[in-house]
Amino acid sequence: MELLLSVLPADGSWITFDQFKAQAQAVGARIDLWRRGKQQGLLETRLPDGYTSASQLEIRKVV
Amino acid sequence: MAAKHYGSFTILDYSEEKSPTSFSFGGITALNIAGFLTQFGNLRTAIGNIITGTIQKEKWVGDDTVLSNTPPAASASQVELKWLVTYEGATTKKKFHYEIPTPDTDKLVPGSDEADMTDTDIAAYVTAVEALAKSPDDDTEGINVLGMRMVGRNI
Repeated sequence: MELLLSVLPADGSWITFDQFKAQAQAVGARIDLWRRGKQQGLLETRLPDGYTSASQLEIRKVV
Repeated sequence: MAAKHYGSFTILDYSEEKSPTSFSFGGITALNIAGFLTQFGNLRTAIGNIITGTIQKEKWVGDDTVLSNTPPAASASQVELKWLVTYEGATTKKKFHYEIPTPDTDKLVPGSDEADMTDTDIAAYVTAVEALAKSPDDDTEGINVLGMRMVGRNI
């Protein structure tokens, strides 16, 4: 989980989920752990109002 | 007994059969209806990206709107197949499940009947439903999606 969280900005700013996956894959982190991290309140995801594409999904570390 | 608030989307498949997916949410008030409608729209979009069928109709208390009667083009889009979504109350951890017709099999983990929870469309769906849905037992309790599996008949 620490490795996965390490790819998210330390200041809690949002990045796209696709960017997060690419960076997690680059360091060999388990991307599927994002679900556990969300349930544990370590990270959160959001969709913009009236979103049209999953590419707009964003994720951030809870700081 | 807490008040029940629920909605559904009806899915149309290739052979023009219909099947609903239903969910519970908190009470609608004058103060939260704008946010509710946004979350409801997000959930509609999210479901549309994880199934192969046509979202034919949506419904919640006070809304019963036909969205489309055009069947999907893909012959494999059949309501006999479902996403079986398992979820829990965020506080009580009590487990529930519901179904979504016409799953998009491109979203499966290869060699399995499990949805790929790292797929961005699946992640967007999980985000949308967790933002809106509440436990059927308590309309103030949020939910956690635990997993999604494709199910169907095996004769």
